[in-house]
Amino acid sequence: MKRIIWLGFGFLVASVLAIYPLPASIALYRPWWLVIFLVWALIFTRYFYVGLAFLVGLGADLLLNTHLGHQAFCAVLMALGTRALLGMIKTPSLAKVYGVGAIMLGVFFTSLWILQLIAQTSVQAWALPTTLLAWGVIGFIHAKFDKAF
Amino acid sequence: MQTPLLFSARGLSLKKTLIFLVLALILMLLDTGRPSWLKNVRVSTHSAMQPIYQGARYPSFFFGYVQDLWQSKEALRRDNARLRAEVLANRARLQTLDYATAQNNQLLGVLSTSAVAGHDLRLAKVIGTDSNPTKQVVVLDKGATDGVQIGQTVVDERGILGQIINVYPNTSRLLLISDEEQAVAVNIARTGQRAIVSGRGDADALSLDYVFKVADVQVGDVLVSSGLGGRMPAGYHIGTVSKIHSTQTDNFANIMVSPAANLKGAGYVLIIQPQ
Repeated sequence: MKRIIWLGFGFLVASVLAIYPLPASIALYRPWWLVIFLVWALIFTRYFYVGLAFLVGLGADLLLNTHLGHQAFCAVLMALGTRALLGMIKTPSLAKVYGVGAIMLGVFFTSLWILQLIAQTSVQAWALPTTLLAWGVIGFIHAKFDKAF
Repeated sequence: MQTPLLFSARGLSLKKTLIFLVLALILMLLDTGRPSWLKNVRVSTHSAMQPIYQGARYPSFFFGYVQDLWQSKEALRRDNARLRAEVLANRARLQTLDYATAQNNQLLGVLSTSAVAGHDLRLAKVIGTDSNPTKQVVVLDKGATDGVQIGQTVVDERGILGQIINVYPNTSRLLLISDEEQAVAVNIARTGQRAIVSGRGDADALSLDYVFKVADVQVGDVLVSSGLGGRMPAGYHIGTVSKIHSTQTDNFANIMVSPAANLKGAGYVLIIQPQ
């Protein structure tokens, strides 16, 4: 129960970070916090799978005002890919797990860009490097504070 | 050492995945083909975002307060003197405008056309961009309690910025003229020719549409809003023609326009409200 509350809180924080109004010069480089939250939840919790990934993606579509279904589609693909890659890891380590997350973020953005190109809507290219950077920082903090690793 | 097996041991479910992928595809098709069906969902989501927009007003208040505290008396005196000079110059300009308005009303009377309704200008501050920066939408710190309504035009000291698309109690969302979904009816000031300026999703450039390549348009031509369609008031600056390119195969010229208003970094804006 405690974990579910924390996940709800995490989703709320990610949503606030994702939509908080920023100056135009910075806004283009804002990491996609909801996608970071989703990949983290897919990797580190037992509750997240395609159904919840779809719902978070749909929520992100509405909050970020993207074409409805775009992020939901990419989130489901990401959930599937994450599960497949995690299943391949024989000797888990934090670096490997975060590596999987980084690959899946790449998959998410690549599939989103393809969908945006098909729908002829603007492509947010700068979001990938900053999102990967934020993911790396989270991994670094995780490694510093989690004694299990 | 403890094994970091924190992730779920659930297997892959291709069937479930496929169902959700198809569901997402259906939503995409619905949003493309029938966007009006999902309009209410989007409006509700934006309303849910209102507390965050509301919260975003406070840092800008705080920074403004700190800036005021740091400003020296001497700087304030200098600012005051400069602003007084500007007010004097603007008043002098207004005298000639009064004469032009009187003449205009006389001509409208001759043509038996109704006079243009007066309006008030309400100052608002840009809190920041919308959650999707490619959408060319900004959030303002004035809302329904200040009389802001959907459809009202917003300008800065140089020209039209856009139109209000959502209103909440203390904030509102402004769709800039540079957005791909925005278009403004204009007149070319030099020739009076009517045309449409539309956004391209880029704050630095707009495009002037439906102008034949044989039409009299030059680089540097000033475009003003024509007021046609009643969506935006007439006479405000929209931009200046910056580039003209014609191809043999197309009947219309490809004309680029530099926006007059500061679409990228406007800090304070004016909302045009009916008197």
